[in-house]
Amino acid sequence: MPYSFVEIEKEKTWVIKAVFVFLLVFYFLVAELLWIVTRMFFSSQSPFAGPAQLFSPGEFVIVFAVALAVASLHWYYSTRNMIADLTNLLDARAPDLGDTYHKMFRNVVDEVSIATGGRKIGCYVVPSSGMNAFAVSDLEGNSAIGVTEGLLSRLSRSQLEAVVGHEAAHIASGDSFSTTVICSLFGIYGALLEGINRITLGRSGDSSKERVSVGARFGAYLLVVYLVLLVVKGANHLLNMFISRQREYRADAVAVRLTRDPVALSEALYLISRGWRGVGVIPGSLSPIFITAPDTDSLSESEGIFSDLFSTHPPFKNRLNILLDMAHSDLQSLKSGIRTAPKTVVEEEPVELEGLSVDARRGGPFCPKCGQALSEISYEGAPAMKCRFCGGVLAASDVATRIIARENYLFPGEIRESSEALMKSHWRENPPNFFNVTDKLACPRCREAMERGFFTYGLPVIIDKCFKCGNIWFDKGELEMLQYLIEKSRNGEL
Amino acid sequence: MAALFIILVIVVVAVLWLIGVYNGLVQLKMRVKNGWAQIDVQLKRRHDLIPNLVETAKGYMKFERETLENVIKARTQATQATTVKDKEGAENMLTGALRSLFAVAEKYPDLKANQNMLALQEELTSTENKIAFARQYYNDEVTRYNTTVKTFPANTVAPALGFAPEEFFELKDLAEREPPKVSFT
Repeated sequence: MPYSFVEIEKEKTWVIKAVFVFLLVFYFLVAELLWIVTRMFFSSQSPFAGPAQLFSPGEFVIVFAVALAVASLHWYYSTRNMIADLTNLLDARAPDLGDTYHKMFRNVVDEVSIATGGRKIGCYVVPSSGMNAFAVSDLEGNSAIGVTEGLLSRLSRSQLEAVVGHEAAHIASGDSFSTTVICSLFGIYGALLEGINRITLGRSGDSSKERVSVGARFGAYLLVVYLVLLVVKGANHLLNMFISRQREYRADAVAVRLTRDPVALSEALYLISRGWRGVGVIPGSLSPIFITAPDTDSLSESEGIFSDLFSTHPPFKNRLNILLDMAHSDLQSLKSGIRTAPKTVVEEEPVELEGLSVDARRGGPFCPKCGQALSEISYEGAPAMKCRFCGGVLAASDVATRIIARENYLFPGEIRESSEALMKSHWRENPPNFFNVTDKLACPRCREAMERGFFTYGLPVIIDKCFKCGNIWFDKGELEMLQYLIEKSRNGEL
Repeated sequence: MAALFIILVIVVVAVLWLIGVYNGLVQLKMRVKNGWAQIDVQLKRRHDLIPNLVETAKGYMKFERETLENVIKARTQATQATTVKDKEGAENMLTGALRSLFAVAEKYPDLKANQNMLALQEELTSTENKIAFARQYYNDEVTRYNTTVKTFPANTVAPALGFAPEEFFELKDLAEREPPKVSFT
C-alpha cells in the first residue's frame, strides 16, 4: 500500500482541519457581508463612509462567534452518519444475497479487500441502470463501495473486480475520506438544489402554466432555501478545486497493483465511458465519490489549467492511454477484444430445495389467477416466483427494478411482435380507467387487494401492484414485454 | 577521558541503530505473519466447501467414483499439512483433483445447470480468487521483508537477531491449463 495507517490517520486530521477552516472562513465571509448590508440598510450613513465605520473590532468578534457556531453545527450535523446519509440520498441498498449478481458483487468486494490486507469494506447497490461506482469512508474508519445495477449486469467478473479495485484504492489511500467529507458537507445540499430544479424547471415538456403553479406552491419559502443552497453549491465548486484529478490516476494505478489486470480496468473504463452514467439519478454534486462524473460535460474531457482546477475527474482518454501502456496494448485491440456476455433466451432456472422442486410446497404463496402454488425461480439472476400453470411472475418492486436494469435476455419473436403491437395501439388516446377495476387480484403474499396500473407512464404495460407489501404481479409475458420495451427505449429505438 | 567519551557515544549510537533495525524487522515480520493468517483462513474455507461440492456432484456422477474419491483424498491431505512447503504441495494436488472434477462435470449438462452447483461454483471461484489475493499480499510482504533482511546494513545483524528469510507461497491456478505433455518415444 502506498500509505501506512499512521500516514492515513495524519492525512485525515489534516483534511478535517482544512475543511473546517474553509467552512469557518466561508461562514464568516457570508455573515460579515450580511451584517454590513444590514447596517447600511438601517443606518443613514453613506455606504462610502469609509472602512473605519464598517469594521469595528467588537462587531468583528460577534460575527466571528456566529460564524463559528454555524460552522460547528453544520459540521456536526453533516458528518454524524456520512455513509448512511450519502447512501440514503442515492437510494443505495445492501446487496440481496439471494440474487446471483449481488452475491457475486459481495464476493468480489471481499476478494479485493483481502488484496488490500484484509480491511472490512461494506457494499451497496444503487438501483439504477446507469453505469457508475462509488466509494465512501467515514471518521470512524468504516468504508463502503457501491455500484449501480447497470454496472453489475454489463461488466464481466474481472472487469467488476477492476472497478472495485479502483474504489478500494481510494479507500486504502485515504482520499475517499476527504471526498466523503466534502460531499457530506456540501454535495448533499447541491443534490437538493438539483432536485428542486428538476421539479420546477423540468425539461420534460411541461407547459409554462404548470411551472407557475408549482412555483407558487413552493412560494417565497423556496426562494430563501434556494438562495442558501445556491451559495452552498458555490462553496462546493470552490472545494472541488482542492480535489485533484491526480487521485483518479493514482487509484487506477493502485487498482492495477491490487488486481494485476490493467486490461480488465481499461475495458471497464471504456464501457463506462460509452454507457449512460446515471445522470438524474446520481446528483452531479456528488461526482467526487464516483468513478466518473455522472453528467458528461466538456470540462472533464478537456485538459488545461482551467479544467484541471475545476474538474474532479481526468479525461477518459488519458486514463485509458496510461492503462493500455501498462498492458502493452492499444485502443484498437481493446475495442475488438471486449467480450460482452452473449444474450440468452429467457429461461428461468427453478430453485431446488434438497433435490425436490419447490412446486411440491403446499403452504406458500398461491397464484392470484389460478390458485396454483407459486414456485421459486431465478429470473435474470434475481429471486422471483412463478406460476407454472399460467406463467405469471410475482416479484418484489425492488427485484422488478433490478430485472429491468439487466439486459442479458434475448426475447422471442412473439414477445417482440406483441409489444410492438401494444405500442401502436390507441392506449395513449384511450387510456384504460384504473379507478373502477372490479376484478382486483389478491396479493399472494399478504392477501391485500392489488391496484392495477401502468408500470411506468411511458409504456402501455399494465401490472398489478400491492401497495402494502410492494409486490408486483406480472401476467404471462408482461414482464418480458416491459423489459423489451424499456431496453428499446434505452437504446433510443422507441 | 575524551576517547572514553567517544567510545561511549559510538556504543550508544550502535545500540540505538540496533533497536531501530530490530523493531523494523519485527514490524515487517508481523505483516508477513498476518498475510499468512489470511491465506490460512481462505484455505480453510476452500476445504469446507469441498464436501458440499462432492455431495452435490455425487447424485449426478454415479460412474465417476474415482474422481470424487481423489478430491476427498486430496482434501484430507491438505487439511493435515502444516508447514508452508507441505501446504503448497497438498493444495496443488487438491487443485489438480478439482480441475479434473470440473473437466468431468462438463459431460453432465444436468449437473452444470443445477442451481446448487452454480452457487457452489461461484463460491469456489470466489474462494480461489481470495486465496490468490491473499497469496499475492503474502508474497509482497515476504518480498519486502526478505529484501530488508538481505540488504546492507540490516543483513549484518539480522541472522544474529534471529531473522531468517521467509519462504514464498506458490500455488497453481485452478483456471490455468496443464501444460501439454510432450513425449519423444
